[in-house]
Amino acid sequence: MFGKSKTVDTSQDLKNQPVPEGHHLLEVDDLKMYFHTEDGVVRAVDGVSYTLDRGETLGVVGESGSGKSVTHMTMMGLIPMPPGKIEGGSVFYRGHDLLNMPEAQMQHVRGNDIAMIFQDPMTSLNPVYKIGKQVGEGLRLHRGYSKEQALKRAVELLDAVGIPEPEKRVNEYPHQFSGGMRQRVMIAMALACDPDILIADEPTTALDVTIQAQIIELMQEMQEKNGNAIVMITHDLGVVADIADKIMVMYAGRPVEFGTADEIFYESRHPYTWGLIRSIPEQATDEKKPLTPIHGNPPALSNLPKGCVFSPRCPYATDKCRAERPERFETGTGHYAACHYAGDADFIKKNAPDTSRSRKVSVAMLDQEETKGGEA
Amino acid sequence: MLKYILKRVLQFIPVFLGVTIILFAMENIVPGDPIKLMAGEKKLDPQTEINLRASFHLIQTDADGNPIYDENGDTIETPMWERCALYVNGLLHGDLGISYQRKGQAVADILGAKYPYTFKLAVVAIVLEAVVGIGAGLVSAIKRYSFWDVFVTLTTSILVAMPAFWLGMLLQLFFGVYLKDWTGGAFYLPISADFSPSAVFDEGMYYILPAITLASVSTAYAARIMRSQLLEVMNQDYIRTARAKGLSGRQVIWRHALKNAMIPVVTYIGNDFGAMMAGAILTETVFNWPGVGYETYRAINQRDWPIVLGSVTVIVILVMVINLLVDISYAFLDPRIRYGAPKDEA
Repeated sequence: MFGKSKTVDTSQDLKNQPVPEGHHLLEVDDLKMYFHTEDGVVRAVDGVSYTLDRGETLGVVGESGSGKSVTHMTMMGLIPMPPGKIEGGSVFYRGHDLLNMPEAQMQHVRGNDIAMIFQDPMTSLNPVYKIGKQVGEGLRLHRGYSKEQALKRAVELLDAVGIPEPEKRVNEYPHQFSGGMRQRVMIAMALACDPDILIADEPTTALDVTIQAQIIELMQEMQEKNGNAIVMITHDLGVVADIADKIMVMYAGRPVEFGTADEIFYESRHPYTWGLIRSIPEQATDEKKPLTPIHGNPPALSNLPKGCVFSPRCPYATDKCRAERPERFETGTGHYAACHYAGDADFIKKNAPDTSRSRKVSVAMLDQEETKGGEA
Repeated sequence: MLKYILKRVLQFIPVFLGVTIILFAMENIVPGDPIKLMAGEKKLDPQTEINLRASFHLIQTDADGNPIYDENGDTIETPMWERCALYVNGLLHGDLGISYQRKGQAVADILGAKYPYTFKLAVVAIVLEAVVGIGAGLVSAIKRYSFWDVFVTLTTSILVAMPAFWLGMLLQLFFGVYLKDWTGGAFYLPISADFSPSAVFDEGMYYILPAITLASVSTAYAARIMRSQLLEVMNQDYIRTARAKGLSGRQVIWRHALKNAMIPVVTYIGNDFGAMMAGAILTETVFNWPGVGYETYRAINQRDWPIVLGSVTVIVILVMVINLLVDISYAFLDPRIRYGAPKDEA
């Protein structure tokens, strides 16, 4: 490592430059990244688009293998190319093209402007180095801190993420930490350089249920303090329900629906989103209602079905679905759904889950009518 | 940690006793009488033979060392277990016994004179193994599927398959015979007993070919272990974390991957050093190297059991001590072992 501290001009950091007029903090447009393997082309990321602003939280939801993680690894330049290859689209961060950035500059973006937390805290920390060294490493790299400065800051960071006795803990090794504590370390490590965007790749999946809420709360707390944006990747719609401003639902490498959290939960227009909503276990119901799963498995990305990728599992699929890839139906508020019938009000009213407003209205009316009928 | 070391040292005892018993048993099985061999072609005078046997405790003696005879006037052979006990007793007093064939020289003195050569050769070979093995493994892992990777993979396959003594002979043939004009035929010559001070550089030259021969197979293995370990470590989650932090590819390898990948390689090379200290019988014989391996080979041919016993005893102890040191060093490389050991041992 570097011996002494050196002065690093942080004013040149992208995160300290203004977002250009007419741009968002992060703009992903029609991003496509395919893996070229011996078994053929795997369309891992197939036309992902979204925008994100400072202080916002985006939830990215989908089953395993739906391309949630790969999309963001692609944006960070963490996918080895080959076998990966960008097939189209763009990613702009504060107006800078991330996909065509020179590797040296990209390294400065990673960890400094955009940081990432990974799913499994048990294996994501290097087992042979002390926690303090690992947390402070980014600061030494991006800010030119000396060993002592970095360690001092690491103590403060561990304290901030709620690790007791941080002065002692910085000198311990990862295996001496519990899973929840390690994920706190990962968060401290990711937030060390005050990144603009924090990408959390299933940060709670490997954790105890009781710890999950703590970690989510911690990330929100840090967001309030630092004003960073969060991309929360999860397969659990329930996890993002409370914290996400926007939600992107992905399926087989494609975004099938995107909108505000409100729009996704109450005005969703895609049968896959409905399936996810129906699979959330309901609390506080007296009657034991069986969950409604989405039957079948996601398709192999190297052998996608013709037409709509969800059609083989969609209960409402028609011949049109099986033949033509659906265009995005946009509502005008930024909300879109990739379904042939997303614009069909009757279809949605009939099939949307109970949470849907369009549905609720009709159910409520029915209830009233029933009550009236009972009284009469 | 101390408890662990103590436990390991105590484990030395049964291993050591087992090896000694096996050696004594083999001594009885292998044909050839060392006392008769002492006289070579000539026939020994019967009384001299009895006296010799008595002096080596091969037959029962009284307190003054005179042979005891049974009712038929024959000598009584000392049972194996008794000789074994005598040997262990001598060993506990620091006495390795007396050579049969080398005119009453103490085994300890003979081995003491041979060990520096074995040790120096082992050090040269192990440095060669560490530098070339780790280096080649690194190159082939970092430049995976490149020309160098293919080259290393091919070369190591050949070296692993090639018997060390044959490689030694080929090297001698090439440097000593084909390149005679350049080397003066000296590359393969054995070390002479007396080095003149002016021959310091030349002395170093004598180590090269035997060291290459001795290190060849294990260097190939070390390179392969290094390659596979580094490739495996590069797939670990913490490597992805390091890259996401903004480290360059080179920094990721040197700061995060190498230390993890090195742990098994260091263990392998360390244990290999133990094996080399055992004296490389084949290499030393091919190069007439005046080390323990060659001496053991010679002693086996001449049924000079005290030397065989003595050298094997020293080898067993050395190998066990080096293995223990390697295990301890493991704990310094891997904190999981350092801190986990006391709990796991309990």
